[in-house]
Amino acid sequence: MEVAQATVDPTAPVALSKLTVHYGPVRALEGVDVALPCGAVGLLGPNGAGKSTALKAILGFVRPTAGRVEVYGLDAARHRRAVRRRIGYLPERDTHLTGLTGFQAVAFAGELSGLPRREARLRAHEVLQYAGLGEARYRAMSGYSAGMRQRVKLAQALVHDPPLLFLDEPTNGLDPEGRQEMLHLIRELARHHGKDVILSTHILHDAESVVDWVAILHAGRLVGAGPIRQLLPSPRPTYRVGLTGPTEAVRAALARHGITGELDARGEGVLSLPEGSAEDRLFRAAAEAGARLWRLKPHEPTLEAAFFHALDVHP
Amino acid sequence: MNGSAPHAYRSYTGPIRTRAWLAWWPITRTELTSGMYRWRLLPLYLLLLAPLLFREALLYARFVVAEVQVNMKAGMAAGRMGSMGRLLQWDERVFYSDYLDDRFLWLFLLLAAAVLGVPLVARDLRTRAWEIYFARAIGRLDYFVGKFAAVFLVLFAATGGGVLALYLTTSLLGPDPEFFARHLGWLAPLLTHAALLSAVLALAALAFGTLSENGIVLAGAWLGLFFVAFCIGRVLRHVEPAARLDWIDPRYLFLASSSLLHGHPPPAGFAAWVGPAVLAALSAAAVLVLGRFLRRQKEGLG
Repeated sequence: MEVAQATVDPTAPVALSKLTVHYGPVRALEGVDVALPCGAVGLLGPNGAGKSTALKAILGFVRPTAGRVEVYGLDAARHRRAVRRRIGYLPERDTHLTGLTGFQAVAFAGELSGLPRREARLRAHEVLQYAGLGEARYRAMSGYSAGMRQRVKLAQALVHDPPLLFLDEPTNGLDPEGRQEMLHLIRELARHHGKDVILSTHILHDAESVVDWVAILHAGRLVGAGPIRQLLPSPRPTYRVGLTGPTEAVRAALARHGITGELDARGEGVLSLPEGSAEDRLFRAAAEAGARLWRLKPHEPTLEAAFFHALDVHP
Repeated sequence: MNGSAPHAYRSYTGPIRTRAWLAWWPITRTELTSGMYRWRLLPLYLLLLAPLLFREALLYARFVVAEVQVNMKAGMAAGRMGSMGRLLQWDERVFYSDYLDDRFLWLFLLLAAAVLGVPLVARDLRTRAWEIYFARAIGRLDYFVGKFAAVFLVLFAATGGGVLALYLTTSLLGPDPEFFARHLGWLAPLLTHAALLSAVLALAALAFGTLSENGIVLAGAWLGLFFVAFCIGRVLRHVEPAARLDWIDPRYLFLASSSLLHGHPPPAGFAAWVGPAVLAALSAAAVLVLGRFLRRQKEGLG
């Protein structure tokens, strides 16, 4: 598997170099070595893979057992405050400040980030409006729904206009419409406002709609990193097909032409052709088997395929 | 969400403060102005003002009775009016002793520290507000200084501010023209003592608040501990007066103010060091607990 090396790209927003974090006997991260590029990046992995620990190490919340973290070229352990000024963080879990309205909470986050009070208040109005909270920002946060709190958290992450956003499960608790809006905002921030976004999520569909590049963690180790297309099992042309005919003859013809994949009882499935070949090979194989090819559709690479391939799991 | 039209994102081009020494101030101000803090402050202020209101009512009653006495020309002494008369003989000195001393203010300080100070860190632990604070450019010290100042300022405003307000209003509006000059010497020690007590109690309350996520239980435990100490101190005072074991009584924290207000000479011998020693021990314990907490909570801290 191709893995981007940390030391090769000095312009990378985040570079992890042999990053190792142990919690006592638990090895949360083990020698993770990756440079996350500009733009929207997905940090993926099953539960307990080390995604949150990686984010905490980048934010300076945990001290690495070994290795180092660089954010825009700054050592995260030595320049903690400077690094955090460049980061907007949306935490996964429900975190809030009791007794504050949404507006107060965002203005407070702005002040903590170093904005003068007046600027923080003006900016809080702007980013809350951008996040879609509207007039609800004047209500106490204790009465907010989970989705409204997610929007406040996004506004808190944006209030000091950082170049880098860490979004940990940003669609948690959102209804379908809210989820689409949130993903749209994230896409817009990454593509039109020059933000570097690191999206940590277990919802592959969310990641797929936002990011072009992923880093996949498993059991504390980096098992894959790169553009989604490069992480696919193979670069061979793949098609979703419907093929009806004598089963054994079809199997034999496909094998002769080097076509791999599985067809179900109705003759439907995903087939991969040998590298460099075109779909006419499928037509020839069907003709040889005396089968009828009634569906032929290019099969787009999915993040799910890349994810399971990286984890060496076949769903 | 609420159907509001999304606005365009605008980049921020204004100033960013990087003066680390002021990073704690927004935390203090936000605590002091938050809805929850105000909600907790209100009953405390009412409690604090209750004796003052009582005093004003009493002074008014005394004025009315004096008028009646003059009108009756009977020369009736207040003492001959039974318990009501004794109450009316309550003079300014007694009031100051009662109000600013161990009869009332120590209880108020412990209560205020329990209600305002103990839940501060516990609440942030429960709501995971740590992640909001420490993803920003502030450190652990800024966080604790901010929280400490929020408690200290309220305690000191209630005690030191109260002392100052009473002193000035009595000097300016009271019937005794010599009051200001005669009691000027009280002021500096009383204010210093109030500041010291407020600081130690604020520190101790914060440290106590790190022991659990349940602020209500912690506040109850805080008051319970002081109440038990008070009871033990009272019992020991009567059981073994010579052994001076009554120092465990938390009112000893207020010894300096007490002697000043009662017009006693400054404490000497055992009494001179027991108050500061208890304060120092309380502070040391608080610092130790906070230090241990910070070491344990490396994860989630800056």
